[in-house]
Amino acid sequence: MRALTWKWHWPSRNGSLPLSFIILLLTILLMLGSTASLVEVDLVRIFKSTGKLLGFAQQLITIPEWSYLPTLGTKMLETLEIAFLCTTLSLILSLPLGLLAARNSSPHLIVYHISRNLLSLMRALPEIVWALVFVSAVGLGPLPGVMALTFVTTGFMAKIFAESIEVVNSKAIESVAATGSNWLQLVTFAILPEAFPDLISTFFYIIDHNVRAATIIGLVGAGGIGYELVMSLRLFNYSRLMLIMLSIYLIVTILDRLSDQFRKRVI
Amino acid sequence: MSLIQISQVSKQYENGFRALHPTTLTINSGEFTVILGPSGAGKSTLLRLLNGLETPSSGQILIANRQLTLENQRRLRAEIGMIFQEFNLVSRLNVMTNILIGRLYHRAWWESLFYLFPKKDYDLAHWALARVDLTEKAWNRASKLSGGQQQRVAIARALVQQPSVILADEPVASLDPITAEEIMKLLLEICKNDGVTVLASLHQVGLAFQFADRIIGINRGQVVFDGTAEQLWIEQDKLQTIYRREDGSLDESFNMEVALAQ
Repeated sequence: MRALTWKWHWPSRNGSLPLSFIILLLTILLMLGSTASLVEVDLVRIFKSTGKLLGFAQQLITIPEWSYLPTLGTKMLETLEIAFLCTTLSLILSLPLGLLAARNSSPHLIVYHISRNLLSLMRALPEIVWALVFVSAVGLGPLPGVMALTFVTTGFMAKIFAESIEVVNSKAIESVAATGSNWLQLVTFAILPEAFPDLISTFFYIIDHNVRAATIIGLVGAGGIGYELVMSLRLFNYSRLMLIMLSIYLIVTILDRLSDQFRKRVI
Repeated sequence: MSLIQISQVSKQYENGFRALHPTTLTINSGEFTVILGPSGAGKSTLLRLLNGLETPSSGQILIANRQLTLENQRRLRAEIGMIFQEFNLVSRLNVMTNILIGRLYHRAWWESLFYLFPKKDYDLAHWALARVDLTEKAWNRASKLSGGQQQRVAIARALVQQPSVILADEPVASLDPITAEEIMKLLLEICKNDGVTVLASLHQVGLAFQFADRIIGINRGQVVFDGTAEQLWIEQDKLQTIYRREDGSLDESFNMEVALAQ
C-alpha cells in the first residue's frame, strides 16, 4: 500500500529514489553549503562586481592593434608548438606506462602498483607549479614549459590509457592468447587495436587541453602566448588583450572541429 | 592412437564451485568427439583446461605425449586450435589479420611489433580463407561480418595454426540452426579430410547425434556416458542421466533437445 499516489515513479522496487542516491545528493549539497563560505563564494559580492566585469568587457571593445598581429602569430605558434610537442612526447611515454598501469596488461602486480603511484605523483601538482620548478632549474623560455607540460600530461594520458585498456573485451585477448601468443603479441594484436578508439579520443582531448595549458604556463615566463597575455593585462593594453583572447578562442575552436572530424573518420 | 590423455583431472574454482570432478579420458587422433551436456555441466571447463586457459586443481594432461605445464603451455597452445561460442575475434582488425594471429607463435617480437608476416603465412591464410569459403571478405573488418562468417574466420585462424586438434567450445550456440549445421559440417569436413581431431562441446543432442563419432556425456562435472552416437540412441536412459538435475528432475532443455533430435 502506498501512502501517496503519484503519477510518476522511479524505476526502483518501491517506486522511490534509492536511499543511497538520496544520501549522495544530501552529502554533495552539505559539502557545497559548508565550503561556500570557506572559499568566499558570496552571491552578493558576485552581484556587486557585475559592474566591474562589464566595465572590463567594455574596455575590450576597442580598435585592435593590427600591427601587433605578426608578434601575436609568432607567439601563438610557439604556444601551439609547445602543445603539440608535449602531447607527442607524452603519447610516446604514455603508451608503455599505460600498459604497465593497467591490471589486465601489466606483467606483474608490483609493476602495476609502482606505475600507478608514479602516475599519481606526476599528476599531483598542476602544470604551472612544475613550470615554476623547471624555470628555476633551466631558466626562462619554452624549454621548462615543455618539460612541465610533458610531465603532467603523461601522468594524465597514461592513467586514461590504462583505464581504456582495462575495459578491453577480455574474450578477444583470451582468444589471441589461446594461439600461443606472448605478452607483446597480446598487446599489439588484441589490446591496442581494441582500445584504439579510446586512445585516439584521449589523444585529441589532451591536445585540446594542452593548448590551453601551454597558454597558462606562459604566465610564469615559460614562453608562448601566455606571457603576452599577462603583460597586456598588467599594462592595461586592451587593444592587444582583445586580439590575444580572440586568437586563443579561435585556435581552441578550430582544433576542436578538426579533432572531431578526424575522430569520426577513424572510429 | 591417443592424442590427448586426461588423468584424474579436476577443477575447483576459487569460490569453491567444483566444475569438474576427477576425470580420466583419452581422446583419439582423427576422431570427431562431442562433449554433450546441459549448461553449467563443466564442458567449457574441460576444454579450457586442455589448452591451459584454466589450470587444473589436480591431475595431469598429456597432449601428444607431452605433459601440459606452464613452461610448454605456449608451445602446446600453438598446436591446438581453439574456437569459442562468441567467436572472440579482434573486432577492429580485418579478417586477414585475425587469421594471421594464428601464426603469431612463429613470429619474432619485432615482426609482431610491426605487423610483419612472411609470404608463407599469407599463403596459408589464403588457403584457410578459401577452405572456409570467405576469400572475398579478406580485407573486411571482422566486426562487419555476420555471426556465421565470424565463426568461419575463427576456424580459419585455427587452421593456419596447422593444429593436431581443434577444441570447439559451444561453436554453434550463438548461431541460427541453418548456420549452425553449416559450421558443424565444416568442422566435420576438416576432421575427416584434413585429419584434424575435433573435440567440440555442444548442448544440442540433435547435432551430437548427427556429427559425432563419439559422445562424452557430462553432467554436474562428471562423465556419465562415453560411447558412440548409436549406443546413446539405443540407451535413452543414458541420455536422461546426462540431463538429470541434482533433485532428480530433468533439465528443461532435455525435452526440447530430444524432440529436435527425433
